[in-house]
Order: sequence, then C-alpha cells, then structure tokens
Amino acid sequence: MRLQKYVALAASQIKVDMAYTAWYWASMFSVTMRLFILYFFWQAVYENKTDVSGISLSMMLTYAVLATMLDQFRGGAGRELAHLIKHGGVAVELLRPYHLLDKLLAQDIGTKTSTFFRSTLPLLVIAMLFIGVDPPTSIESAFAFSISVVLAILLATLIDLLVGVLSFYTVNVWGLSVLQEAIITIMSGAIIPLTLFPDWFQTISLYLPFASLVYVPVAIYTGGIDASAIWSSILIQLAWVGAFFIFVRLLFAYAVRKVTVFGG
Amino acid sequence: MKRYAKLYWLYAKNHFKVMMEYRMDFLIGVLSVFGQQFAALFFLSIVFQHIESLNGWGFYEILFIYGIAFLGRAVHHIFFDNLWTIGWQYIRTGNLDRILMRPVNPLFQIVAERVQQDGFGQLLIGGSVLWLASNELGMTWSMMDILVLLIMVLASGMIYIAVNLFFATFSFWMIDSLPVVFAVFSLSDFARYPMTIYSKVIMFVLTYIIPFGFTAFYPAMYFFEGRGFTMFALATPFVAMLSLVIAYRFWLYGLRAFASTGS
Amino acid sequence: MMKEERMSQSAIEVRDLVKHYKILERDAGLKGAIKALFSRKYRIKEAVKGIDLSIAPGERVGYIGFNGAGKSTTIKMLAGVLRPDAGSVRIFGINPHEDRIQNARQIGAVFGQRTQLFWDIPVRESFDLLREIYEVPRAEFEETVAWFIARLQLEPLLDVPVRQLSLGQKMRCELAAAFLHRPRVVYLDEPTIGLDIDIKETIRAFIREISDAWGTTVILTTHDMQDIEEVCDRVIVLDEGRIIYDDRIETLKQTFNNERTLEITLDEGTTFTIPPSVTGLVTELASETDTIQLAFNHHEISSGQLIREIVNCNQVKDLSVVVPKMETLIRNLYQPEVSA
Repeated sequence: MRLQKYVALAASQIKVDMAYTAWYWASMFSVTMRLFILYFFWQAVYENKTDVSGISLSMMLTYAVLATMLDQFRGGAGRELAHLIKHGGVAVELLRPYHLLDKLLAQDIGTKTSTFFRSTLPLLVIAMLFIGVDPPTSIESAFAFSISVVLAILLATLIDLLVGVLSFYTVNVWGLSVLQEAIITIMSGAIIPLTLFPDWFQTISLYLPFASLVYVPVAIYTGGIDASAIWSSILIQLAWVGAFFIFVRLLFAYAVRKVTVFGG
Repeated sequence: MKRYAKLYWLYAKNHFKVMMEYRMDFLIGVLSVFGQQFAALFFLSIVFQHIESLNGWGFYEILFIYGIAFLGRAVHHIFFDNLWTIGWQYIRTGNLDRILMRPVNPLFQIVAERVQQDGFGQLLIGGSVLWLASNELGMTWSMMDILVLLIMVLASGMIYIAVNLFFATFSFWMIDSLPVVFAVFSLSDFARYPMTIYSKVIMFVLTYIIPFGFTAFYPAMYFFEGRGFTMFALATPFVAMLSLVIAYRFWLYGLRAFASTGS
Repeated sequence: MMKEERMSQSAIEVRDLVKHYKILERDAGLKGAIKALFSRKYRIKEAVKGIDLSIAPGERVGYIGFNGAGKSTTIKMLAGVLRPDAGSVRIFGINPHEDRIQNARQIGAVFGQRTQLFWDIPVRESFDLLREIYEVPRAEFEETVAWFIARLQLEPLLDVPVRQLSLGQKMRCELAAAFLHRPRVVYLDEPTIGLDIDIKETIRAFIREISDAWGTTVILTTHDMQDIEEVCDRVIVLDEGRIIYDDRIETLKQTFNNERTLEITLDEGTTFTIPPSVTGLVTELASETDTIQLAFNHHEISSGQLIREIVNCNQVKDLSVVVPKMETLIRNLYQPEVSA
C-alpha cells in the first residue's frame, strides 16, 4: 500500500523529464562528444603499446564507456533536498504523510529509470557502433554486474542525499557540492580504472566508499576484478549502502528535530 | 569609447563590492574551479605514469596546451560569463526591453552586468600550469614571446566569447538557446589535447567550422619548435577577430529580428 | 509647412501605427512539434490596427484598455523596443526604433514588476550608475537626487540593496530612477500595482509635482482608475488594437457623467411612493424593504429637485446621492449608452 505511493511518485517524475527535449538532445550530444574524446585519447595512448597495467585497449575503452555511463547517475535527490531547504519548501514536506527521504529517493529512482531508457541505452548503442564495447567476460560476471550497478547507483544517490542533508547545517552547500563532485569523480574511478593509480592511492580507496560507485561494477564487467573477488566486492558495496542509508536517516532526523525545536 | 570604459569600471567596482560582501561564496567558487581543473590534470598525470608519450606528445607539452586553454577560458569566464544567461535572464524575463531603453549598447550592458570573480582562480591555475610546463620543457621567454603569449591568450578567450555569443543569439528565436550553447561548448574539450590524435573530420570541424582548435592547440604550436602548424598558430589572432565579427554581426541581426517580432 | 511645425512641437506623434504578431500554429505533443518544423502555419494576430496619437509636451495621459488590447505593444513601439509593421512614430521628432540610442536619452520608464535598478547593489549606487549611463552633469544630478529623496522619503533606503526592499520601497526608488535624468517623456506601466494606499498617494503626488516642474510628458498605463483621475488630464482608451476614446478627463466626466443614483432609507414601516412629477425621470433599481435606489439623469432633473419631490411624498430617514466612479464611466465607453 505504502509502496504504491512511492511508485506513483517515481512514475510522475518520468513524465516531467520528458518535457525537456532541447536539454535532452544537448546532453546526449555532449556525452557522445565526451565518449569520442576518450576514444581518440586512448587510441593515442595505445599507439605503441598493447596493454597498460594489464589492461588492453578494448578493455580500457569498454571501461571508459561504462564508467562514463554510470557517472551520469550521480546527482538528483540531494540537490532537490538542498533546494527545498533553501527555499523553505521543506516545512511543507515535513507535514505530509510520507517520509521525505523516501519520497526523494522514489522520485530519483523514477528520474534515473527514465534516464536509463532515454539516454543510456541509445548512448550504449552509439558506443557499440563507433567505439567498441566488449561483451562481459562471463554470464556470472554479467549477472553480478547488474546487481553491482544497482547498488552503485543507490550508493551514489545516498551520498548525494547526504550532501543535501548537510544544507540543514551549512548555508553554502553549493560550493561543497561542486568540490565533492570533483573529488568523487577521481576517486570513484569514473575517469580511469583505479588500478592505474599509485599503490598508496589504491590502499586508501579500499577504505573509502567511492570505489563502489563506478570502479567495482565496471571492473566486474570487464574482468578487472577477479572472479573470486566479485561477490566480496558486492558485499562491500552492500555494506556501504546500508551504512549511508542509516547515516543519512539519522542526520536527517536530528536536523529535523533541531529545526522544529528552534524554528526557521 | 572612453565613456564605455568609465561605465565598465563603475559596473566592475560594484561587482567587486558585492563580491567582498560574499567572501565565502567567492572562496568556494574559486575552490570548486580548482577542484574541476585539478581532476583533469590528475587524470593526465596518472596516465603518463604508464606511458611515455601520447601520439608523440610529451606530458609537459600537453600540459602547456592545457595551460593556454585554461587561460583563454578564464578570460571568457571572468568578463563575459553573462552571455550564457541571455536567454533565460534577459529574453524570457523581458529584461532585454529595459536594456534597450537605455542609451548604451545593449550587448555591452549585458556583458558588464556580471563579473565572475572565481575565474581568477582559473587564471591562476592556467598560469601556474603554463609556467610549470614551460620550465620542464626548458623554454626561454623573450619580451616578444611574452607579448605573443598575451595575444594568443586573448585570442583564445575571444574565440570562446565569439562561439558563446553566436549560439546565444539563437535565443532570439528559441527564447533560451542555452542547451545549444551547452552542446557546442562540449566540443571545446577536444581542444585540450593535441589535435593530431583526432580524425581528419574532427580536425576539420575544429579548425574551420567551430574554431576551438585555435583556443589552445594552434596557439601553443607557436611556442614549440619543429612541431609544424606554424601557419595555423600565426593565424590565431585573425581567426579570433573574424569569429568575433561574425558573431557580433549575427547578434545585431538577431536583435533586429527580435524588434520585429517581440516576445 | 504648418503641420511639420506642429509635428516638431508635439512630444509624441503617431500616425497609422500597425503591429501584427505571427503566432505559430501547432498541434499539441511531440507529433505537433515535428510537424511544426516542416510546415510553418501562422496565425496573424493584429495587436495594433492603425492608431493615431498626438500628445503635446507636458501632457499627462492615461492609456487604458483591457489586457490584450494592445497597450504594451504600443508602449514598446513608442519606446523603440518594437518595430512597427506600418505607420510612423516620432518622439520629439525622433524615430524611436531607428534612432534608438538618441531616443533613449530622452525617455524614462517604470515597468510594473520588472526593475530598472540594479539588483545586488545599494540604491545609491544604482542611481550613480544611472547618472553615468545617462550622462547627467554631477551638480544637476545631486540637486535632483536631493529633491527626490525628500519627496519620496528615500533617505533610509539609499544604502539598502534593491533586492531587500519591500514592494512599496522599491516602487518609490523605481520612480526616482525613471525621472533621474530629466527625461522629456516617461512611460509608467502599472506603477502603483499592489501598493498600500498611502504610498499610492505619495507616488501620484510625486508624478504630478515633477511633471509640473519639468514639463515632463507622462504616459500612464494602469488598471487603477484612481491613478488616472489624480494624475492625468487626458485619457485614451484602447480596445482590440484601436483607439475608441481620446479626450480630456473633464470631457469624459461631462459626457458620461449623467447618471446618478439616489439612495433612500425610509423610516421603518413606511412605504415608498414615487411622486407623479418624477415618474418618467427615474428608474427604480433593486431595493430592499427600507432602502430604495433610484437611478436618474441629472441633466433631466437635478439632484436637488428630485430630493425635494421625494421628501415631500415620503418619510425619509436618510438619503445620499451617488456619483458614478471613473470605472463606470470607462466601462460605458465600451457599451455606448442610449442616454447621452
């Protein structure tokens, strides 16, 4: 019964996104260009080599394509929340018969599902035709990949939500948000596989959640993560998702309490 | 001319006053620009830990090209950032009418109404990167070279400005052409790398159609020896001026059309 | 020769002004959007259908009409923002569209909600910027500003950024900004909308005083008839792109101001009789038990005489004569009445 409510919210978001056609084409074009730049760049890198740190050209290109696609699913709920807080709409939302965080999550899932069908799939087709995307290494890795992707997107949404909740506490979340975007872009492996990073960097990223955002799912697909390590990586993802889910909820509840006690 | 200079100074003074009030915002803006640029540079340095050269280009040569791109972009960003807002802030809102009722060039007013101070952070990074690269490459700088560098950076900025203006002009027919401007600017990222890595088609587009090639690669070639493209390098300032003329003419045309149809 | 002389003397001279809008016709939805790319089907909306105006310097004109009548289109053409499709516009002999910058020097404007000021900076700085834009000599500027500050009580607002001002405060600053450079013509579009009554009064008084002192020509577009009555000496009514009335306000009042309503409250329990002497001259409007409303034409019978007749035949407790408001007069213009 309650779930229906959130499904409806997700569905409504899909319709809204349909309206912005000019932006749709603009973003399709810009991501396509990004892919092409990556293609030429890596071609040039591999001009005189067959592999870089154990990765072949086709594997690297596959990685680049999938990582870029996955990177599109980051923002949304958090920005929405920050906006509500900044413009006072949050007060109204807190009166409604649903949990605001769940609503934002549901809407975001709707948007992202819509994004997947409208943008990701066509872009994948383009990439397959012009750049070349390897098939997954095995059926097991393909299956694990799908699970991992869902977890990765969930985690990204939660992290974004966290930044949004922080705007209860600080006025200037925008700057923080842009900074965090840059850091995460690097540390999630969205630009290059983490295995290319210096060793000390890789050690650090073991303790951070960002690798679970892009590197883990894509590396599962390309075989960068060994078959033996696949499921433990997914477990780690799940753990991070759980941790952030709880953390965000706690922070939110505390912030709401603080706000309702002190007002404004 | 002198009057416009005095006017611009007044506008700018006000912008700085506001910026001083919002120090926090300014700092954060600078930091975020830092962050974005840093990501790009980080990527490059990581890749070069595994390779020697990219299509024959060394790390610092590519860094040099990056530097010029950053600097040119900074010029555009600091002084002409308002061009992005023409559609939604001036045409859609009707604010353009108010501007047209003043005895001052409307484009001047739009441009003067915003100064993006965090662009100075971009300028700083671009300058540092350029300086670092030039040191590592063992480049020597005569007065003449520095002058040419200044001209090249300005030319680079002018091309960004021209492309922005040209496609922003479509707002006169589309109300807000921001998606178009955004899409075209995604081509500018091609210009960060040595264009020799691209196919002939792309090089053609970036040289003769949307001249982003002249924002970084071609001007950088002036300072490299034995890399060729000297003719293109020398053509940079002229391409910049031509682009500006074309863009401005189109803007005037759009303005006239707008006065016929209204909004 | 004479006509040209007259033309160069008038503030605003408009002949056969025409403006059409092309509205793209398209079906709803995605299919419609694609179809629209290939076949351009237009619908012509005639916003202004050929109007003539001749406004002398120093006149204060109320320019009114329903929404969509073509008012803002006309004003935009006068201001030089929109190009006419046909006809001519001259503001003190200058073509506002062709010689945009030259014309801009001699006009000022207030456009309802949209601000002429600069959003983030204090009012004082906005004024300074405008001074530079209009190239007003410093001494003259200081004098003007001091005068405006006094008249509009702007002193406490000078150091406040425009975006922090309330509507009433912003409007006063807008007005000051519009007149700052001593323009020969000022266009005021809904300058009092949403304001408290005391601020409306201040603004109306200000407009009167400044235009009297400087001889400024004022074009006022508004839905508030009180504005028109207190500020303007002439009223022009636009309906569906054409001018249906253009004359002095006194004339408007005299021409249509015949209707009066006599409201009578009777002593309790008494009945009302219309005396035979006035039977044909009054119409009884919907009445309640002890209150009667009689409509009459005061050219046919004076209020005084009617009152005398009524009081003689009835036990009147209270009565009042109601004069029709401006709004009624204007509304009558759209449906010309039989009585004249």
